[in-house]
Amino acid sequence: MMRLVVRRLLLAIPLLLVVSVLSFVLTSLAPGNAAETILGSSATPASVTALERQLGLTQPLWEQYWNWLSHAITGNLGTSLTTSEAVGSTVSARLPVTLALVIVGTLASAILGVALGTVSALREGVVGRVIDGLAMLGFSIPNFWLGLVLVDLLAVKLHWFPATGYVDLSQSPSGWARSLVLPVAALAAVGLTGIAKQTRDSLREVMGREFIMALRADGMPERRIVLRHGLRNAAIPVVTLVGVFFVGMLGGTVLVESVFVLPGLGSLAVSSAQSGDLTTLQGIVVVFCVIVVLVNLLIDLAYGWLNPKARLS
Amino acid sequence: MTTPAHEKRWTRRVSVAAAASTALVTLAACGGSTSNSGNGNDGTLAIGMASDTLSLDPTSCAPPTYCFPAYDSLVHQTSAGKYAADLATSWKFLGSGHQTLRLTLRQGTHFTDGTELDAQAVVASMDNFLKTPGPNQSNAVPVDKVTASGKYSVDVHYSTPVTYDFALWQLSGQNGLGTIVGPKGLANPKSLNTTSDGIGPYKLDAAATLKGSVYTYVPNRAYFNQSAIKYSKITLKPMQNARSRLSAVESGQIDWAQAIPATDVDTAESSGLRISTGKLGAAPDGMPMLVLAQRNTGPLANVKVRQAISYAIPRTQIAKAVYGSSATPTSSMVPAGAQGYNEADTNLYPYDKTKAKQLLAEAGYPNGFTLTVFDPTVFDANNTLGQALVSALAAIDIKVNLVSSDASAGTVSQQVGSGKYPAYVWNAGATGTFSLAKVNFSAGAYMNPFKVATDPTLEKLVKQAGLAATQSEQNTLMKAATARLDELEWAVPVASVPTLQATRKDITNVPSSYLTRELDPFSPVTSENWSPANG
Repeated sequence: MMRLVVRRLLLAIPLLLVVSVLSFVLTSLAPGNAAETILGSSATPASVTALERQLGLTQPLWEQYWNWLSHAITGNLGTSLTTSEAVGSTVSARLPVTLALVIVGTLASAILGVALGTVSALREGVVGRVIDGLAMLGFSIPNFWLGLVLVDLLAVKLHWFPATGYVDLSQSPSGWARSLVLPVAALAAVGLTGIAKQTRDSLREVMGREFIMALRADGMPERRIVLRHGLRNAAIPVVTLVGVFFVGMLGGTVLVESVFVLPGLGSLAVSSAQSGDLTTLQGIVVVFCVIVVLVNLLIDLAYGWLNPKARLS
Repeated sequence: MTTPAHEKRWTRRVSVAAAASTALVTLAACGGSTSNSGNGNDGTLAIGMASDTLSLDPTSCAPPTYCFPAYDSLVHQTSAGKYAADLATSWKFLGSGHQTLRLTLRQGTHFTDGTELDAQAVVASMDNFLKTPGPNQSNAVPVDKVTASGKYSVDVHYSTPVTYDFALWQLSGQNGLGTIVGPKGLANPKSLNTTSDGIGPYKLDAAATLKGSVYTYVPNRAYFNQSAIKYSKITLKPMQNARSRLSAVESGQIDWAQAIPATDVDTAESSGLRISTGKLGAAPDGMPMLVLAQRNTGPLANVKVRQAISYAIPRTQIAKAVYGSSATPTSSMVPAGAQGYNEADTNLYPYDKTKAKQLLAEAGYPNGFTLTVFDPTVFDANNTLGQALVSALAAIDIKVNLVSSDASAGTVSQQVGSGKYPAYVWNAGATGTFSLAKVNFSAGAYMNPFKVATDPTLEKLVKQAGLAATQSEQNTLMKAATARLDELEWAVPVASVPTLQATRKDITNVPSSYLTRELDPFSPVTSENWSPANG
C-alpha cells in the first residue's frame, strides 16, 4: 500500500509540470494581459507598453514560465500581476471555501445517491422509474440555472437560506451550514442523480449473483445481505464515480461560486482569467491539480479497502 | 451466525455517514430564516457591487465607489450634478485664460495617518496620480501640473482653457485625480489595501476585509463632519452576476444592488425595492455607438457616408429591442444632463433609408461598400447591437463584416488602438462635449486611432467655451460645439442608456434620479447622506 502511495505521489510531479506548462501557454495565448486590465479602456499604447515592461510581460514566454517555476518549487507562488498581493496567501484564504463546497457536495451526493440507488434497486417499478427520471433530469439541468431557481424559491421567497455569501465555520457553525445548502444543492445535483443510478444498476447486478442466493438460503436477513454484502460489492464502480464527480464539482465551483457570490477559488479563477493575471491563475491550477491527485490517490486506496484482490495486484 | 469485525466496521461507517448527513441538513433547515445582514436599520449599509476593484489605492480604485467611504475629494459633485465644497472650500480661475484653477483648502483637517491636510500633501497626492499608471489616469487630461501657492492653496494648471464644469467634475471623487491620499499612504501604496489613508467619514477595517469578497469600513472619528456618519459599518461586496445582486437585495442581504438590468426593473419594484435612475449611464452600457474611425481614407473619410450610416439606423427599434424601455434613442453624442447637451440634435438623423441612399450616391458609393466592424462583447453583450447594425446597413447596401471579441475592455482598447478596424462598437458611457473633443477624439485616443486631425471649427468653439466669462455664454458655446460634433458624425450614437440602481426602501435620501457617473451615498453635505430610516 505504501508503495502505491509513493508511486502515485512521484507520478504527480511530472503531471503538475505538464499541467502548469499547459495552463501557462493557454492563458498567454488568450488575447489581452494584466497591463491592459490594470490600465483600462482609455489607456494609451505607450502606457500599456511601459506597464508590460514593469510587470515582466515583455519577456519571452519560457522566461516568464521559468521565473514562475523557480519560485513555485520553493513554495512561493509569486505575486498577483493585477493586485500585487501574494498568490499563496490569496489562494489559502479562499481554499477552505472551495473545499467546504466540494467536500460537503461530494458527501451529500454520495450518501443520498447511494441511499436513493439502494431503495430503487430493491424496489422495482415506479420508484425505480422515478429515480431513473430524476437521474436524467439531474444530468440535464445546468448547475448555475438550478442555483438561480433555488435562490429565487428558497432564499428570496421563503427566506429559508441566504441568497448569497459564505459564513466561516469558526464564526457560526449553523450559519456555515445554511450558507452551504443552496450552493451544495446546485453543485451536487448531477453527482447525486448519477451515483443513485450507478448504485441502482450495480446493486441489482450484485443482488442477482449466486453468493447472494446462497446467503439467503443460509437464512441471513435481507437487510444484512444488502448492507454487508450487496452494497460492499456494488460499491467499487460507485467509488469511481464519486471520484469523477468530485473532480467535476471542482470545475463546477467556477460557476456556482459566481452565482452564490462565494469567495472561493472558482470565482478567483474566473476573475484572474478575465484580467489576464497569469500568476494567480497558475497558483489556482496547481492547487486544483494537487487536489485532483490526492483525490485519485484516496480512490485507489478505497479500492484496496473494498476489494482485497485490488490490494494484492 | 457471527459477524466478522470488518463487516461491523462497514455498517458502522455507513450509519455514521448517514447520521452526519442528516444532522447537517437538519441543522441547516432548522436554522430559522436568514438574517438580513444588509438591512440598513441594523446600522450597516451593505452594497452589492457590479464589479471588483483592482485595488483600494485611489489611483486604481475603479469603480470609485470602493474609495468613496474613506476618501473625500477636493470637490464634491452632488447627485443633481452641482458642485459643493469638500476638501477645497472655494475655487476660482486665475486671470482670463482659464488655464489655472486656484483652490483654497479646508483647514484643521487631518488624514487617517494624523497628518494635516495642506497644499504640500495635496500636490504630492495629485502628482502621484498623474505619474501612476492606472485605469483612471486618462481622466486627468489636460492637467499639466499642480503646484502649491500657499500653505492652504493649490493651483491646477491646464494645457488648454477648460470650463468650470469640466474642471470641477475632474476634481470630484468620480475621477480619482481630486481624491487625496495622505503622505504615509503615498509613501507605501501597497499599504492602502489594508489601511486607508484619506479624509473620509469612514476608514477601512482590514480585519473584516477580504479582497474580492467583502470590503468593510467603520466610522472615522477624526472626520471633520461627524454628522455625515450615518452608519456603524459599510460593506461593499463584489457580485458580478446581476441576478445574484438582485436576489441579495430582494432577500435583504444587501441594501443596494448596483447596476441592475432594465429587464429586472419590474421584478425589483414588485419586490418593494426603489429604483434610482442614473441619467448619465456609465460604461459599458451608457452610450452605445458605432465609431467610424478610419476617417483618413476610404468611404468613412467622407462626411456624407458617415451621415448616411446614421440615417440608416432605426434607433427607436434598436434601443427598445437591445436596451429595453428605459433607453432613450438619440443621434447626439451628448446625452441629456451632460455638459453641452443639445436637444435639437437628439433626432438630427431620423431613420430615413432614402436619404441615406441619396447621401451614399452623392459621396460616390451608389452601390454601397464593405465595412469591417469590430464588435467586442464587453460593450455589446451577445453582439445584439452588432447584429442589428449589420441588418440596418445591409438595407443601404453596406455589407458589414462583424468581428466579435470576448476580450476585456483594456484589451479591446488596445485592439482598436492598433488601427486594425475601420469601425467598431464602443461604449465609454455618457460624456460631455469637452471630454469628447479634447480627450476621447484627440489624435491617437481610443476613439481616434487613425490619428485624424481634429476639426478647426470644433476646436475653436471648445476653446471659446473654455474662455467664456459667464456660465450662460459657456453653455451656448458648448451647445454649438455639440452641434458641430454631431454634424461631423465621427461616431454614430444609438441610444442613451441609464444606469439603474435598486435600493431597499428603509434607506432615506436615495435620489430617484442622479446626474453623477456613480451614485455616492457619502456626501460632505449632511442633507445628502443616505441614512437608515430609523437612524
